[in-house]
Amino acid sequence: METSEMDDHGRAILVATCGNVMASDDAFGPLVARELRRRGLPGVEVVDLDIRPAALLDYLPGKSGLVLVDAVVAPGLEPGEVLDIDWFSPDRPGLVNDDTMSTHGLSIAMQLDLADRLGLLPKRVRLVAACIEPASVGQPSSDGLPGSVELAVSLVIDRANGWSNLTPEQQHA
Amino acid sequence: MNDSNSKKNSGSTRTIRVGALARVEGEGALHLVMNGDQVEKVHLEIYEPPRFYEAFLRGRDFKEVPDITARICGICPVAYQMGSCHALEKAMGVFDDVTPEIRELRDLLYCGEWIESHVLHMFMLHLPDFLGYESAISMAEDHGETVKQALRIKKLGNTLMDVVAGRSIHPVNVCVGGFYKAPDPKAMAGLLPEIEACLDLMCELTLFLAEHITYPELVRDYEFVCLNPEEGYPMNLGGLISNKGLNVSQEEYGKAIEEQHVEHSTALQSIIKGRGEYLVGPLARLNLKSENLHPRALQILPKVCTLLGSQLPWRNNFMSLPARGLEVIHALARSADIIRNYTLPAVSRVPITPRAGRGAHGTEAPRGVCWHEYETDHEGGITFARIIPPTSQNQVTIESDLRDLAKLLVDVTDEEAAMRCEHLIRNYDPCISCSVHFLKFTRDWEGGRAGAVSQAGVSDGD
Repeated sequence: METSEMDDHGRAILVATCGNVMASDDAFGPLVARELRRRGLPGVEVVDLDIRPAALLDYLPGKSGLVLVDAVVAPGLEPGEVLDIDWFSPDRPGLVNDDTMSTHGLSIAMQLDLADRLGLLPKRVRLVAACIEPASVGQPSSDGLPGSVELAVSLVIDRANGWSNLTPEQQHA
Repeated sequence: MNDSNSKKNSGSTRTIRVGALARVEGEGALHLVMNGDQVEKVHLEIYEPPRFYEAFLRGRDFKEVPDITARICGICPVAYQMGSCHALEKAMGVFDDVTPEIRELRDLLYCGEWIESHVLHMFMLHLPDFLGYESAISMAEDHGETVKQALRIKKLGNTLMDVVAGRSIHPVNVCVGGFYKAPDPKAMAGLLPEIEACLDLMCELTLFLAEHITYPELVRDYEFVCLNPEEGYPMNLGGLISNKGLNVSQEEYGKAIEEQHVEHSTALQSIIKGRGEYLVGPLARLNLKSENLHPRALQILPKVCTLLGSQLPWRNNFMSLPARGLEVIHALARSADIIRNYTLPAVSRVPITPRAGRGAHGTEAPRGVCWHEYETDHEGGITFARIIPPTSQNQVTIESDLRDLAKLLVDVTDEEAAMRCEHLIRNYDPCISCSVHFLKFTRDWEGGRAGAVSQAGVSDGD
């Protein structure tokens, strides 16, 4: 893989998952991380942010591409659907609470805005998300979750391979 | 390249709208009722989903508890792990067997969490309030270098947790009795240069906070409560003391405080029996145990006090910002000391034979005492669990602070009042269902101004 932007370990692409393994289908992100780690992707760092998305900023320096993996509750969409969204698309729907200040943490959207101000934002950012029923602590995941995980894993791998195959010029485009 | 795609397992694609990430955190609301310039009611309303953790733990094996409680909070998992480990070691009768080496490693892990949590709160959430920015994003435009320095220190906190506990996000190496595996001395030693560099940076940043920030005046006669270790600054060990006469063991603490249900909040509120509200957290620790700070922090303390124009005890909780700065210096310097003295310990955990027992213990989470109590059956199964997090202990005090502040806000717009109330609440770095996307603000006027009810950030003017 030829890239001009890499972290200290030569990994230019970050896959960051969020979710709580103890809260029903909110386990989506961690399960995707587990499967990606099992398969091993050269040039890709997989980090499970668990329920601590505020740690995302720590992993951004040196990355040219970021795939965020999370579960979403999306009105009008059925649980089981998997979304693949360009974060920079003007059509990207806003997320609830994107721009509100928290007392105790930084949202993903705020961190990406902050990373942009600090020159740390990867050039390519995707959100791969599974639509789920509202999560509930202590409840098991649904029967459909493994299918969503499998689909998301293949989407992430395709995306990472696609980005890895870009020439350095294309990566900066 | 797809822009907004939705796929079911069939592979179909269409445009979608995303509503919300699933992990919709708790939500807070502040409701003020004013009558002229008098405050009739202050309700910090917490709509967090009821915490199932205490019930959820019943029937689980004691060994599972640290991993489960770590997921109560995404910011301070170590606090929940340390509270549960110490309490369960008492229940299992091995508390006094835990070796000094294990205790040092626990302090190091906790230092990592203090550094990460404090720096995140200070520079990403709290400092923008003081400097007049709406967020760290707008602050970064003018103070980019400060934000980058803060991120560097925050990252070091995470790295410390990674090295000691396998992961910074929900550490996996912590167990009742110690650690599954002792960390590698080489990896530990490799952190020293960055710790030293960050220590210098943090001293500079703390002096900046003391010199260049104007702290709103809100002096109150708090009852400060923190751990009282025989040696060192409050963190993992010791009974509990206050500046108003509380002096109890860990076990007695659970009886000394009372948790109350209130109608306007699903969170329990704590008071000291027979006395009332109290305050836990960095200001309490600093005021009660400043002499036990690491010498590196003690060295800078007089200069900080001079620049602030205020000697300890600080009774203004807006000054929790420089208090956190001093605690980060302490945590960095203490980490360096622990690492310099570290060699691979003979045992990483003490052996435990399950038994029926009861144990209670609180430790100092970044935002204050986090107290746990457990009972186990003869096989080590949990039969009772009680967890008192710091924010529920501070909640009554937050409301009292707000009551005093509200009197000063009679002549300002609702938008300004909401902003200043949020600023005050952030002094506490409150953990309301982990991460509250704050804050719905309403201010009603009885017989005074009419119709002045608004959402935060949407002023209806005067």
